Amino acid sequence: MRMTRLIPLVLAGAAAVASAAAPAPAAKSVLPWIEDDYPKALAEAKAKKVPIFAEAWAPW
Amino acid sequence: MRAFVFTDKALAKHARQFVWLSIDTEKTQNAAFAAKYPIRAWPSFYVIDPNREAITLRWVGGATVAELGKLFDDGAGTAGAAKPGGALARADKLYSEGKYAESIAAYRDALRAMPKSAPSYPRAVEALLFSLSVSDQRAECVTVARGAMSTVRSTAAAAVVAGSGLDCALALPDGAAGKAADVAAFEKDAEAVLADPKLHLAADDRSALYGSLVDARRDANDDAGARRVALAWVADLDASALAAKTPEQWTALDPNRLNAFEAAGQIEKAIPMLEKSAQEFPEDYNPPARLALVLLKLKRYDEALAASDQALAKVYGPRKLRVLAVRADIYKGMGNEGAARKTVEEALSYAEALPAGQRSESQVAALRKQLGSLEAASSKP
Repeated sequence: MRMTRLIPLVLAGAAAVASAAAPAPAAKSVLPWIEDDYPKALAEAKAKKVPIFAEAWAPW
Repeated sequence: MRAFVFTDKALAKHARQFVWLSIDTEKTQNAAFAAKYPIRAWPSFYVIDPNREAITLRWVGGATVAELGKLFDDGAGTAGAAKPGGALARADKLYSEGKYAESIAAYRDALRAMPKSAPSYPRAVEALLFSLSVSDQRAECVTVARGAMSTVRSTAAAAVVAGSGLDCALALPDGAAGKAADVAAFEKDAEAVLADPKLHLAADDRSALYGSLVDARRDANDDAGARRVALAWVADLDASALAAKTPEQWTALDPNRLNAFEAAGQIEKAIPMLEKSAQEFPEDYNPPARLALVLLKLKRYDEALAASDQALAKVYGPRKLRVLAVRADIYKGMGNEGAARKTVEEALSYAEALPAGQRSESQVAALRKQLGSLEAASSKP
């Protein structure tokens, strides 16, 4: 985990891993991501009896 | 991560281990997820047990392909476990729940109980350093990093351990016992990590180390040394940009390159870079948002405002507050205090209207304070 540069965001009461976030609007992942739909992922995970691997990111 | 790591074919074999969920935390539709699983740093990765809707493993920040493969295997094992097993599982559980201060003792127990050659050792050290860092236990962070460095020196974790150790040492009060020696030792470690071609560190990791090294030189009032490191940082990232295989990879370097250019006193070099990214990804608000900041720093206010207009037209979620903050500063630079105040008012209204999971009370309080100061200043004769 790369957290060596936790920086305060201006006007944000949170921390970001500096420069770890990347925009990459159309990167081609080799994994079948469900985009922005937790209920769908939850239902699929229950049906397939596997856990969810979630990536929480921001397009900074 | 999205541009460099998740595109690696070596990860495809893990596809069936999980249902894969990508959450853009800026989107309103994901506010409920963020409220349910609070995010302390970006990016964050979670393994979630779907039956209990509970996080069973959390990873903060970037990771190499090898680290991700290990994390997938560890994570697949944790989900569904009714009771946590050993000391590491107990520590991971606390860490996953965001109980960082409580996880410190648990990780110490876990590390004492495992051989230093254990595959999970570097991950446990990194988690302990993160927990110490966010709990402001800087001296302890230095001690742990110092002790772990020799064990992780030849692994990808070396970047985190050296960088965390250096950041924590720099955050110690001036005159703290041993501070200078600790800073010097971690600087040496960080330089060695950067020079080791076998570590194959990601550009993000390398940049974090360069940034810490610049901070260290500045802390020592060594401007020439800081500039030397910053120029090396710029050259390193220029090489990464040249080696980028896709426009996504090239643009993903923008925030690091912007930091490096600024540290080297060459912030104007960010302008053509950001213009290229804006052209490549016209829907992305980041290039114009960053361009507005760069032009503000260069006091080219009219151009900065034009870039801010473009960013505002595209931005969404909490990030809009950052764009508005830069915009208020642009107006202040122009001497237009009224427009600056109106922009802060707009930011405050926006911040107050954000849904749970995205709304930050400290953010709202900071904006109210800022607005109060601006109003007080404008009412002075």
